[in-house]
Amino acid sequence: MAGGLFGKYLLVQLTGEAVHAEHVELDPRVARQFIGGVGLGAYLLWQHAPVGVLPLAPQAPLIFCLSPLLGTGLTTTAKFTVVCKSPLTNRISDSLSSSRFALGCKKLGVDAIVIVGQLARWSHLHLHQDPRQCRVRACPNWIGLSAQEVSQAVAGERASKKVHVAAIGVAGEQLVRYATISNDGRHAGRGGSGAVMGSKRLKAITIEGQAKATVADPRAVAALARGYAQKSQGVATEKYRLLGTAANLSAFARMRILPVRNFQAVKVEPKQVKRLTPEGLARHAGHVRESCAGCTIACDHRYGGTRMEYETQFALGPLCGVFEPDKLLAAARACDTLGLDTISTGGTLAFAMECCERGLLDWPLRFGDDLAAWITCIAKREGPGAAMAEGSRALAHSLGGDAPRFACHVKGLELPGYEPRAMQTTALGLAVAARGADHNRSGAYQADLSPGVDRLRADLERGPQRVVDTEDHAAMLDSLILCKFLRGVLEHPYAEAAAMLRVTTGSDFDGLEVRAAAARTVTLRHLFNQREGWTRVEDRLPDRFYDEPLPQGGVIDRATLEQMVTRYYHLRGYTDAGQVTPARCRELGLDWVVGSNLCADFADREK
Amino acid sequence: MVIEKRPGLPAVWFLTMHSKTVRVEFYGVVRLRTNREHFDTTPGTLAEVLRAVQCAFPTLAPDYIREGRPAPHLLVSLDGGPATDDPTLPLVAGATVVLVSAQSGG
Repeated sequence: MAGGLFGKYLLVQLTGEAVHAEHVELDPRVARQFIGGVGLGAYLLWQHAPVGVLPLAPQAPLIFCLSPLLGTGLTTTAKFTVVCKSPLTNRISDSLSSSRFALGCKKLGVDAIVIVGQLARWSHLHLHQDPRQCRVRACPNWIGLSAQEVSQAVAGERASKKVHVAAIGVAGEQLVRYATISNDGRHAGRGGSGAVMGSKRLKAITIEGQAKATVADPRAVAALARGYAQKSQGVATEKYRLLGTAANLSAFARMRILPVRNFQAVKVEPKQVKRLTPEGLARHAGHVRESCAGCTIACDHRYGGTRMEYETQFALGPLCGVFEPDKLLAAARACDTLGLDTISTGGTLAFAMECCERGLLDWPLRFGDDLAAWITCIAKREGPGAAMAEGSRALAHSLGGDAPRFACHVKGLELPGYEPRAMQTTALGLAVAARGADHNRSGAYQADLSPGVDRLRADLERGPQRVVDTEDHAAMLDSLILCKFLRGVLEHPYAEAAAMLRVTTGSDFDGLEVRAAAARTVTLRHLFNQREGWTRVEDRLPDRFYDEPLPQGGVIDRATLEQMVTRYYHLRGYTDAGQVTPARCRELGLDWVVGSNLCADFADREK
Repeated sequence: MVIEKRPGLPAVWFLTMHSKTVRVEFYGVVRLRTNREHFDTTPGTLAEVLRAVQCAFPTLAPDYIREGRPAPHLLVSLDGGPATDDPTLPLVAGATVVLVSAQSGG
């Protein structure tokens, strides 16, 4: 087996009050084609999700994927991916999380964990290196606890404090469609993997193992690790180290790309923003900096003990009209404790606020309100929280009329903190991303913030290629799995990624092969959606962005964006309708998709 | 305030105001390194203005400004508009230049 990998995954089947676990061999070609992380996750989801499965059905898989670099000592590689069919979008979802749980998973001696089935009672799943020793145990006393409290409870039961725990909070128990899975104080955030875990009645997963993957060239790996650790202390990561992504807030406000009040505006008073900046929050609540395990960047900035990143700050702050540090920190803390994705929580609340303002809802919810109590209602599905727990798309559909026009989501996933009317490459990236409105699987905002790009105007010629490039770049980083905050350190990303893989796995990767693997992953994600009923209609933005120009004049031209979408499909080798043909599958080395015959329509197209 | 766009140079904006200086605003790490929110300097090309900034704040060189040009980790924008790195860009009195760390996102 190639270094860095074990060549097998752990298949865990839950039924009644029992678990059956076994190792399943992975074809070595899979590791070569998909590397790991989101790539391997897309492959396993395709294999294990029955066609058309409901995301919260027992048969729907919950997949944890690792990578060949995990455990090598290369900086920022202590990461894993959680992959499932999203209960929020009904499309593919992959979320990344970091730290000690990832390292613990690797000690199971597998490259991934696939969990299917459902238990009769809320339970704790203990995974062991020896599949025969995997256990489930009912845990009625843990219901209602936060993930952190569960971790403390597990640690209290054991002599060793080094316990690796992933758990869901109350939101996951209540199947809130944007609930997270939490480990080591971090979250696999977007897409609702916490609800999928909750649907299996799994409150917590713990790990026990001592396996260690060998690497092909330990000295070379160590040398690379030293080199990247040193580079990670340079100017490329300075922002993350000194201020964190929260530094974006004031800069984005100044560049008029910070969405405010449910994307109704981008204008905000500098004085208001100042209180929410890293400096403002530090003055208000105090500041400490932490890091994930095995990371030399340490971007985790906490204010009054609460982690604050740009997306959380935007979604629970200006997007909801909140500009008071105490309210922002309390809302972030509530999401953290209850296990909710902060972007979808803020996006859904902001949408509901606008509905209330317009008289479409009679809830006492207004822009600028204290959010923490409302967030608790969402997590517990209490009162209006039950409707908001379904996400902004479902809430808009239930209201009907004008509401869907300003529900700011793509494919059901709420938008991140980039105003698409003032970032026209980003607009395309958000529209076509397989996961829904997504800034992590499509880094198109990087293109918009580059010199020589007029982000206010759609570039039909170059925009689609920029989206393809940033998607492939992100898929590469997320397959290896490297933190995106390391991206500025990689001068030749694909060649450097190939070098890391060569010394780790011993396989003769080159940059072109890594790029091809990334493109293959992007297409397989799209193919999964296609298999599950996706059509081109889903690759669009909410009407607000076409119909309501920003006061500064930015707006998205519907016809132009449609043309850009078509151009993007062509660059990906899809048809005008965005469908992947069998021929394209073969070009990408996805022959087995054609042969799997899992989709009748797909088979028909080949005739 | 009059704003006009120069044909053929889409990223170039002229701002004509009563001010006799160009204002340079600092955000993020650039603000940390300068310990200032802004800096006023005399009008000129973008290269000349950045040289003046570099001269006043040597801590920005070479990581963020190199001989009057933005380094790869600096994003330069005129009054918050699209990013530019055109050293010949003329900045007249009243113009505002925004300097931000280029690595965004998160």
